[in-house]
Amino acid sequence: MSTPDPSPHAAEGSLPGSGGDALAARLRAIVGSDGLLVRDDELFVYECDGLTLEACRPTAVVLPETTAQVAAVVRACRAAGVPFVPRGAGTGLSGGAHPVPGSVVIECSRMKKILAVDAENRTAVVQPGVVNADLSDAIQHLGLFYAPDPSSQLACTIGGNVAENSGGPHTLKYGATTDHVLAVEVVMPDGEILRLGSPTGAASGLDLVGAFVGSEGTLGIATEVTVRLTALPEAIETLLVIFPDVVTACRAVGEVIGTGLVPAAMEILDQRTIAAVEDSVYAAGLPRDAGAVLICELDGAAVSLDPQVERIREIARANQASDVRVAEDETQRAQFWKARKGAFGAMGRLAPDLYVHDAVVPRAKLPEVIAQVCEIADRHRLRLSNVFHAGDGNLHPNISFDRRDEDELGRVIQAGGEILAACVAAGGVITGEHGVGVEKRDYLPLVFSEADLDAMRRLRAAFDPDLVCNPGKAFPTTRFCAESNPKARGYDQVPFE
Amino acid sequence: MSEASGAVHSVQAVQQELGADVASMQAPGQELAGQRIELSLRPRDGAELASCLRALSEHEQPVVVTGGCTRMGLGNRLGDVAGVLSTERLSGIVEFDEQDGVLQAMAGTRVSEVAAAVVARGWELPVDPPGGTTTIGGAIATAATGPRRHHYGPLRRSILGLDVVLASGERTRCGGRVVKNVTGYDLAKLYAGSLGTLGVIESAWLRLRPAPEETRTLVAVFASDASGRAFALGLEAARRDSVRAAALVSGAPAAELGAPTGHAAGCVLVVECAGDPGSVARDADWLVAETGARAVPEEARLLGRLRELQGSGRLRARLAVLPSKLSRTLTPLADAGFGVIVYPGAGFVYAVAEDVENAEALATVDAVASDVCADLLIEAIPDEARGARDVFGDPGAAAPLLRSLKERFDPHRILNPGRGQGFR
Repeated sequence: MSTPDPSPHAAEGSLPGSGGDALAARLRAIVGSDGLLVRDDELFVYECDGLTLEACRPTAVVLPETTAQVAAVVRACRAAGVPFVPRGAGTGLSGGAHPVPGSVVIECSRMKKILAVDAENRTAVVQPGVVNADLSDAIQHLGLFYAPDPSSQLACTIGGNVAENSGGPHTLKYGATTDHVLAVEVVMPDGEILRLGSPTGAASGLDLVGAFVGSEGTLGIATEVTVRLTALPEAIETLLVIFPDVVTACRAVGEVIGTGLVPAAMEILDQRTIAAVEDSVYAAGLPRDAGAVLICELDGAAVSLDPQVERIREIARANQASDVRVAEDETQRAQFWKARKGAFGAMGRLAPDLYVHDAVVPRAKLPEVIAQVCEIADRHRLRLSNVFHAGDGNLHPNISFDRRDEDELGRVIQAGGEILAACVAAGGVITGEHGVGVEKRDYLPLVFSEADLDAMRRLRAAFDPDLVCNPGKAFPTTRFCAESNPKARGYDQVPFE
Repeated sequence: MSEASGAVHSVQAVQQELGADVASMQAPGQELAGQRIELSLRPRDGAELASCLRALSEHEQPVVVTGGCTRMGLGNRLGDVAGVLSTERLSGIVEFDEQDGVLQAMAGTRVSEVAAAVVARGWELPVDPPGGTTTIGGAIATAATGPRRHHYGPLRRSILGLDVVLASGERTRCGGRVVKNVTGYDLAKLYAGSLGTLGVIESAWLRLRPAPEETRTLVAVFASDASGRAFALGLEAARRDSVRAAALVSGAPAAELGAPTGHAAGCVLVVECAGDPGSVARDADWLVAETGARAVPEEARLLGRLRELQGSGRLRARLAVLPSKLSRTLTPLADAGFGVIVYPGAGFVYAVAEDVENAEALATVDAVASDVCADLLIEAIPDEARGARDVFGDPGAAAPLLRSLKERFDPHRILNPGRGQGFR
């Protein structure tokens, strides 16, 4: 729809399409014409996020700049009986920011101020639209950084990271977003503004911040986030280890963990990923004949690192590594990481579409599961490449395909389900950092019983009893856009209760 | 709840339903946490735990849930209960994956037992609560924390997954056994520290840390006029790589830790360095050079004694404070008669007192907390001083949310009634 349905019978409070004009006017009064998108060509880009296999156009997109505006927008949506969908940069890969029929998208990208940096206490207060990497850049001169580092950190926002409990390569040592959020100001699904947590990170009573982080935008909208900052390490050593194949590389990683070393990051790139990277602008001089490479980063006190490098060397040699290269300077280190962080971009060259999977297994099970994953892809005649957070057991099997080939698309979906099932059978879970979103909601029963999900629904209902805040995510449900007639189907009938 | 006679009938009905193996009536006059206890439930496995809760829910009989009974005074005053539900027989390590450094233990397993089992295999359990009989479930339910908090992080950080039986008797699971996971809501965070008010923990998957190659404990003594310097050094120590515990102790606890006579009015800095030999030596040497600290042998169990002190006192308050404001807490609390333990790295200040004028001491705690914008938690308080106070502090605008959570997880209010924040 290009403009809300101007039906003369529309009463305020009815769904968009009937009372949409009234809602649009109210939203415009809150955020101004400049902050409201309703034209088809403007809404087009909001049909999906990084998960592009499904799409659904929202009724409107608002771009608030203050907490008060977010709260007013939420109240206006409530009054109009319209569901709303929070959105950061839209880089999420599980469809956490996918609109539902008739919904209003609340994009926080204009709330991008770093409000305060307290170097002495190592905290910062930021608006949700601050880009992840911008925060670390802004505090680097203080000897500090913001530890969670998703691969999309040049674009993704802190608010989106909070919603998804985002991880990244350095999660292995430093933890995921949840370990770095001290307090959150939340616009609740009823439009009230609530402050959860405390800058000390030890608010008394229930840990509502812990419950909120990673709730995929379903419990409210973070409008201000107090984060913990981390001291830059005194020294860093980055190693590039060359292995004959990916299974062997996984075995070495398991051994490193079992030995009791805690590297800052351990990332594996398989042969196909290496080739893709070397063919792209991210080329880093990786050996094309390697079966797999492991990027292993150690950080901490300078005096501790040499013995650790030596132990990694020993383990690598014992596991058939043909070479261990230690970055000689910051330039070489940056080059190793450029290969890793550019891997997804490089894969864009392989085929029109890329399905980035995300699952976790116990680290000791990595070798057997990665072998299974390769077997599944081969059996379905799919082009698989692996680049993943091996130290956490967090796999990212990536399938290059062409969605116009319906048969291939079907095999991609089928193989994806089999990969998740294999990970769960090995004691793992179906997502380590991308979230459930719409992508994996129907796979949740692989991991959780109805009673488990019901406990989660209790938490949901305490925050959002009417299920209006980012509906259709994080719980099993039927497909939304398959039956996307908002007039025939109220959001309140969404069957996740 | 029904009339008294009906309630007695229901307690007996619960006992009969569950049988003598699990449930027993108590002799008249039994008390726990200030409440009369008629019924004792001691399930041996998750299925029995579920049966217990189902029966209690059906008959609307509230219970106090216990682990090692080390910190029964935590939380708000317990409301009327019919019995006690003990997790002590839900005991044992279910699985220990040595390669992966993760472990599943039943809730009633003692922390000390798990710690000993993993250290023998080169791992360390990152949980160091006060209380020798503390159980895994109890430590999680109370979000127990100790001197190594700044190194381990809060306990919630080490929880990978929980099996929790809800008040309805439904057995549920959240999280998993892997070290990175965003599958489903992070309910483990909600249960950790909820004092058993939302569900009863059956078992937990925990992430271990590599055991350090070397550990050294050092002690430095500061005169009373040097406490500012002691704070600065304590904070600096806590930020060094190998330092996994740093505590500044003043008042009676300092004397107990061996502060020489005459220094009792000053303070003691206790530092534990642990890790690889290189960084331990470097940090220990630094501390010795800066403070003249002396090494203390392992047998002195200094950290163990620190933990016990941290959990002592008839009146005990915990203040969570930003590092920059920490130094303003010590003098007023010490002057009011409190023993004070400060963990600069964690930003925690414990004020403990056995024998003080409660109202006056509480007024001091409130004033200090307000001055430094602390998050105040009253961990122990004599009943006569409690009054209408919420020991967690006023929940403010979050009160309806907290009530809603309790109603949805425990509609019949059978789990530790009254204990949680804003639940009264």
